[in-house]
Amino acid sequence: MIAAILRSISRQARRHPLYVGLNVFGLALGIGVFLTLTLVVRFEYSFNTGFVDADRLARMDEHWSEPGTTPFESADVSFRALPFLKQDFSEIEDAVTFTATTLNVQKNGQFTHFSGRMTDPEFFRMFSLRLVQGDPDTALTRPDGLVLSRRAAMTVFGKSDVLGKTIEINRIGQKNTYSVTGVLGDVPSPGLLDNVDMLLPVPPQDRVTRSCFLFWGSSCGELLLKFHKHDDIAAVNARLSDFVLHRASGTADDQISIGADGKRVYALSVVPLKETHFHDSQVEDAGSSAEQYVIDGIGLIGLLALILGCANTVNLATARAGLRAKEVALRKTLGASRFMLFTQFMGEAMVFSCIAGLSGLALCEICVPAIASVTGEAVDIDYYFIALLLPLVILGSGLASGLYPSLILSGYNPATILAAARMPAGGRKATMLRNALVVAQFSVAICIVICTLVIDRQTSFLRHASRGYIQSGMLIGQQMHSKDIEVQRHMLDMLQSIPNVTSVTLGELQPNPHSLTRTGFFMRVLRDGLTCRWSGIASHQVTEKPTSPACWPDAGLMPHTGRMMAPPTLSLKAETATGMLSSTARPLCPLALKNLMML
Amino acid sequence: MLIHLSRIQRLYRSDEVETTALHDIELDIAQGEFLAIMGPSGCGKSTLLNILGTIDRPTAGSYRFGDEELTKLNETALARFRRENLGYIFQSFNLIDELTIEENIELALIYRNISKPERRQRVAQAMDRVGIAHRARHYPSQLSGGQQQRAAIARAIVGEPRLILADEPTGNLDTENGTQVMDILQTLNDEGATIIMVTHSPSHADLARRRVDMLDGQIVISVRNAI
Ligand SMILES: Nc1ncnc2c1ncn2[C@@H]1O[C@H](COP(=O)(O)OP(=O)(O)OP(=O)(O)O)[C@@H](O)[C@H]1O
Ligand SMILES: [Mg+2]
Repeated sequence: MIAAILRSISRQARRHPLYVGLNVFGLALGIGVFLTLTLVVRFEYSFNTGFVDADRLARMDEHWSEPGTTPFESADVSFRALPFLKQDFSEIEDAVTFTATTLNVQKNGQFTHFSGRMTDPEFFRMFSLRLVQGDPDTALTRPDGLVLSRRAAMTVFGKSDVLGKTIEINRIGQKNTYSVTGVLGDVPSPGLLDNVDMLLPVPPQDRVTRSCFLFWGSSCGELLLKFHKHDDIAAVNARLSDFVLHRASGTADDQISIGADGKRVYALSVVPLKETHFHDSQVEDAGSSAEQYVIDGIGLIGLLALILGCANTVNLATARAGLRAKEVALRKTLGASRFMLFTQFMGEAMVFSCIAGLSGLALCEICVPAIASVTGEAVDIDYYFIALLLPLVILGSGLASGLYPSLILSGYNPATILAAARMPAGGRKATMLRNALVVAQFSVAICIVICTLVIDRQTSFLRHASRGYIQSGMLIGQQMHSKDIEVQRHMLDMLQSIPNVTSVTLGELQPNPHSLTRTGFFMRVLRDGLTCRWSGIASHQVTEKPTSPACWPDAGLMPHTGRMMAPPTLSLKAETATGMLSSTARPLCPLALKNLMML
Repeated sequence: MLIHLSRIQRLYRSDEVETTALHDIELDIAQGEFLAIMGPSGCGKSTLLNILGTIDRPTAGSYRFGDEELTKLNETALARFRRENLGYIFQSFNLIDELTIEENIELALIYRNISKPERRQRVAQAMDRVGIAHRARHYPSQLSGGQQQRAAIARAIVGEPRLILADEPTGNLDTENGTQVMDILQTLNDEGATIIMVTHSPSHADLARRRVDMLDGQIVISVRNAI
């Protein structure tokens, strides 16, 4: 049987190479696109799902709705809630802080950057992570403990057997010596620990001195929670407004709370960790995220591609059915039963589908790395998943593309065909089906073409639209994290002295027409000017200007009305409701300037 | 009696017209007979042959083959009946273009439970009998009409059927090839095969043992030839 099918196919391939080629190519294209996009969708849906008890893990987010600003949600939260969480909610099993930080290691005079996270000793227990070296329960209990990823261990030490070794780490301009207490093995990916090189404990003094731990309303890092049951997440969510009222509200001028009307401007919510990837498209300061509807759309396109591939095959097969009518009639006359013929044609469809499936897999293997490099997402081909999916796809597309032609072919009445030399092409019904399929195929194809054109026009518009400043010759780089204003000034001077550099400036944002409305710093400056912290009091809002105005003319930026502001200065120029900041406040409250612009 | 047809009727119905292709056919055919069917075009010869070959069903009447009432069998049973009992020869040969002559002949055996070596052997014997062994690996398009018809005869006899049905087997052939084909059919009949042949050639019909003439879907004359 199988030999007969293979022989028939090789014969068709020899006699009708164009037909077989189109048939297989169309289906292979459909399957290839389907597999590729399914892998992308699966990847996007799999964030944080790999952790043990993933559905009991969650993250606490803050919601701000300051008067006069756009309400927003942030994953960078204050850690002030931490000590109260387990106290107020029996549903919470564990809670840890999780703060991203850049770590620099100097080796042979060169700095290597590592992506680090500061967290609490319970972290490994909470996420049921095992270490390939070291004890997960104690790895972060020492203040100088450090857990490395295997890759980081290889980069720093050239080997992964590094327990007990010491390493000098430069973080925010401060050097500290750490001792390696653990090496992390493979972690569930994609998720929270993607590209994380090092985990280190929160410095003990931070808990008593850092505003993060002391004041509500500071923005520090992520707060990760583990619940006893998945349903607890919803239960706790429902009670968080009471929690805010009880724990975060205070009087108008106390330093710790949100203020008297805390509940009005501030809220908390718990987001299941598995949902954060899609949820984060609405969240400020969140890591990698995706719009769920976009991802679903991509999945739909994959499915459409597969359906188109099958429709193409059905079309070709029904169109050719007429040509095979004589063969069918003859085989019937020679004693082939309808079932035998049906299995023969179905088998052929299955073999075509198999060949197309394997070709589609090859296509997928080419596409997935390309997509990964374009999007920067670590999508890869999970062969276990493919081993499950591909047979289903082959079976499905084989059935879809083979069923109708097989039924038509095996149903021919031999007497009419052989005696009358009439060559049916499947009758009126088959013609109608073929027309419907062609119309469907073209509609989908035209839709996709229109979408592509629209996207192309939009991209080209974005690329060529005037941004209100001169882009050519402008370099934008990350500013060094330094709280020392003199260091920043010195760096600017050094950059300025480079030949052909016309001007240098620091800015919170890159110049764009919406900069001023996009961001706001909410500062509360105490009367004595000695301490400052983020807060949410409307009367003390200052809005940071995106760049030092002196650079504007060089960048082609001109004010629409009014006049240019003061010459460039690194001093904080903050306007409060009542007037200027005192000069003594300046060095103590530098703004975190994120971008450095050179012109 | 090998075949007993009684009150066989075949109607073709379309939206507007109703054609009676066969009307109350009564026909008995004995084992080992060589029957020729003649008649003007459109009188229902092919229709009768198709019903005898079970690739068409009568709209009424009974068709007994041996002890079996064929009109009561379902499609699958009829397919089995055909592969075990029938050999078919057509006016237009009906060889499959994509298959070699050898493969075309083998087609009559592949739906039966016969091992590959035995199939090979029987195909070779059948080709020898009709004298086309030297064209085994050729494709139908590479053969002359006479050779193609002989290949078709080989296909019809390779399964050693009890009944051979031939619809104008010499219709597309010149006199010489026609005579060759008739020689083969006669030899087969001499060896015991039952043959029913539709023909327009009175001389070929005379080579059969019996002859029936049809007109407008009915049998009008039945003559036994003196051979
Ligand atoms: N599929 C069909 N639908 C409708 N009418 C048909 C069909 N097949 C045959 N007929 C009609 O049945 C009658 C008998 O046809 P048949 O093919 O049996 O004639 P025939 O005797 O074999 O003629 P010929 O010598 O030309 O082959 C004809 O009138 C024909 O038009
Ligand atoms: Mg006829």
